[in-house]
Amino acid sequence: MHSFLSRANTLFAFTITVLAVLTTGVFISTFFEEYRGTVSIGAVRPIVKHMTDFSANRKKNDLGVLQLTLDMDLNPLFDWNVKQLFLYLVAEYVTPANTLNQVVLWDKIVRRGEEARLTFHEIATKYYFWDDGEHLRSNNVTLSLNWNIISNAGRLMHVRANGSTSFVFPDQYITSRTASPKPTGQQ
Amino acid sequence: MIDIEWPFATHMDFRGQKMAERLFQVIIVFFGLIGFIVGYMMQQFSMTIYSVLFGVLVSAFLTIPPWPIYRNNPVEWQKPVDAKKDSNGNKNNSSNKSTPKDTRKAKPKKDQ
Repeated sequence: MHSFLSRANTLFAFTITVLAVLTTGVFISTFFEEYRGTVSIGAVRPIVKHMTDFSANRKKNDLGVLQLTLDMDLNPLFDWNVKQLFLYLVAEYVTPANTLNQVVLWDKIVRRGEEARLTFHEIATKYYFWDDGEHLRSNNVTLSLNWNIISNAGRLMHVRANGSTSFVFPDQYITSRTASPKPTGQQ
Repeated sequence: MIDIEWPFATHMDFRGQKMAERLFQVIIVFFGLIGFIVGYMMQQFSMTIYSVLFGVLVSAFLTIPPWPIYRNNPVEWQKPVDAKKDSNGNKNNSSNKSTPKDTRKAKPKKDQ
């Protein structure tokens, strides 16, 4: 502690230790938090098409097309350890080929401080709803919204929100070129 | 190691160093605790960090420059001893001192 530099060095090292202890304190204070919430999801006008999937194996697969209506309030989820949320909407269904299929239809990143009460009215899905095969007709599909908590100091948790809905696809393909909105692929 | 020769004195004596270290530890821990409580109540971790950084600024102002209060107990150095001249000089001085005195005292008595 004889000169400026050794005093400054000691001060800096002690500060870093104190910050590490405080960050551990933040982690412990939110360790048992479950981050649950309720949302409302609506599937509007689901149809099934039978088309060639050019991004996969060139076979003809089933393509589901639907619009989404979402309403959610995420403000209670942002405690002092949450930096941002990664939301994703998953469609789950059963086919004879696979016991469980999960397709992500829409996602969004919500940062701390941004608008957390989100409402979407009949938006197109962000990603294509391709089936691995041709079993979407008359299939009962469950849509559920999940979020991935990105913390300042803590675990990365995936939480499923309450309020999932189910719908059934029609039992006929749409063959003619009907005016149905295509997935946008970007926000 | 980086050892810069500053144009002014930057030392503190040992008691001052101990005082300075204890002072900044206390200040930073205090601001850390305050920041933790405030951050928890406001649910904003940035408040905790700002509080600690403010504590660091206060501590840096109080402990890094060598204020006079850290120089109140200077180290007591012993007086410098001139090694070569003195060890010979002691022996010679003691013998030289005694004999001249004796001769001087002796002489006046004889003359009288």
